[in-house]
Amino acid sequence: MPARSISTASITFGLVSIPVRLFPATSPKNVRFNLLHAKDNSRIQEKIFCPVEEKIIDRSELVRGYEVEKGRYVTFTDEELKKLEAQGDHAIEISEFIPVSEVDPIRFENSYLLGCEPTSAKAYHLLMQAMAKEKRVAVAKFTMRGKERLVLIRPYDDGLMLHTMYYNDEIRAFGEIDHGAKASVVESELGLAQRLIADLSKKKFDAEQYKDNYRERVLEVAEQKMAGHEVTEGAPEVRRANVIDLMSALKASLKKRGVEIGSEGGAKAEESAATEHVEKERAHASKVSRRPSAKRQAR
Amino acid sequence: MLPYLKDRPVMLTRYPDGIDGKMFYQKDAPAFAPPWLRTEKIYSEDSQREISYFVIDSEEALAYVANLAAITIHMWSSRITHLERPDWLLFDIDPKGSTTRVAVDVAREVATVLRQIGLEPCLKTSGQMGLHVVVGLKPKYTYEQARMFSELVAGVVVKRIPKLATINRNPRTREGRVYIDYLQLGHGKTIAATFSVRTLAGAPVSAPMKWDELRPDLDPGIYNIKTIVARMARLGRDPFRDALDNQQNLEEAMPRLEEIISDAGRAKSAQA
Repeated sequence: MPARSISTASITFGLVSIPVRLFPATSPKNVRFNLLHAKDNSRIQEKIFCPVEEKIIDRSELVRGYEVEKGRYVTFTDEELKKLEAQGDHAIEISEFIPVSEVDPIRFENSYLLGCEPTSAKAYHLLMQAMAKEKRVAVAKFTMRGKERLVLIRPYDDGLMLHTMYYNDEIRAFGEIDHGAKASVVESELGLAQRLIADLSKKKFDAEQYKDNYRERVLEVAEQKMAGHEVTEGAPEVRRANVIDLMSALKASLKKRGVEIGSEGGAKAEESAATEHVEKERAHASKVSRRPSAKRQAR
Repeated sequence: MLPYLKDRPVMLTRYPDGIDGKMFYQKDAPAFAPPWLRTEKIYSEDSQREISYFVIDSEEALAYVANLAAITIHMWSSRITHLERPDWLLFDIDPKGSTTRVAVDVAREVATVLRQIGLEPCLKTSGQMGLHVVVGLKPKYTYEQARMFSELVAGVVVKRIPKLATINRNPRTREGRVYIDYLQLGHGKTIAATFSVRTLAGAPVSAPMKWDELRPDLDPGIYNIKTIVARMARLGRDPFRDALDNQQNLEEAMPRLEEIISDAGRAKSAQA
């Protein structure tokens, strides 16, 4: 199934305009749970509740409020907000080219693969190859759904990648957080730490070796639960005292059910006795009912 | 495949977006299932309600569930006509955390013990990495009795090859040993149906095997949707078919099993 683009856009630089499509470059694989009513495992609903009128209200009765001071709001309608959106939607305007090392990883928010349109293939590759040769990445302003985003475009795997970035005022500094700035470091200790790093150093980052074990465990247990396995991971194992006890328990059980050990005579009687038990079991342990009409049609 | 599914409730694993996409399990036949599709209502203690299980008894029904993107079909070990009485013993040999090579040794040892007590086991791959050792059974024992019997057999196997096999459910304590799962036998519990396709690359199937085909370098992946039809034609007779056709009794096996267990016990105390 081909990926679905989430938006179209147009990269402009100089006099060139390159139409592109945005595809999400990552898909986080978190384990998602639905909340259920424990009584019968039914899905629940969240309703919007007004604590003043003490009743459930409809979404259409809602309006956006901006808190100007504690408890005081000015309200906006969707139309008012629409008017405030920036003009020239879907434009990616390149302002400068910089070395990627200039950008701290904290800036990066989300990543998108840029696909090209049939008409823009040549310009797209020209831009990509020129950036790769110059070892520069593009800083641009992207007007997306009315909001102006700071973005970075860079060559990636024979194509272009776009990263949305945080503005300066969205990034926190250590400030008040104690990070031991005044701690003194002894030369010999530093040398030891450096050797440790050297020991664990690798030329390449092999991401394959890292996996979300929690997710795998949850999915494994979910599968076992569904397949009817008893899931007792972490719970104490219930062990029988010994095999001899188990053997006598099994013998007693077979006797009780009227299936006498070693007495092969009267197999018919056994069978019918067994059938009788089946009927009894059905009556209490698992109620079995049938849809006779469906059955008849099936045969 | 149909003889194995006859009269058995099944659980479907559905992959509407392919094997890499979102999947879900389906026990409960939807209300819009066509009326000709056989369903059987079984009360579920877990969900405190009746579940309408699919029972696949025709090529059309098989095609219907295939069209639901139900890739793997899991079947009960008992039939609607005797729902609380399994018609086979099942040893699910699970090499997770170990290797197929060890699983092969463990499966062989399970078979050896079973033959020593006069039972004839059948073998199939789970379609994934595991092996299913199955003994066709007269449906006159309860699930609990079958489980107790299997636990005793599995116990003998673990005693004989303690470095290879374990009956510890906790994966963390397996330490590279292969888990003999005798607990997969019970009301509502299922195993991958014979010939069912698994959701792995190469589309492997749960394939019947002859015991002399079980070699240490077994690659279960060679039995897949491309090869299985030719394989079964070449074999002529389905070696797993005895799981259905050769319904065995446990009565004669009981004293023999008891003898093996007490022999082992005596040997141990003699050593001490």
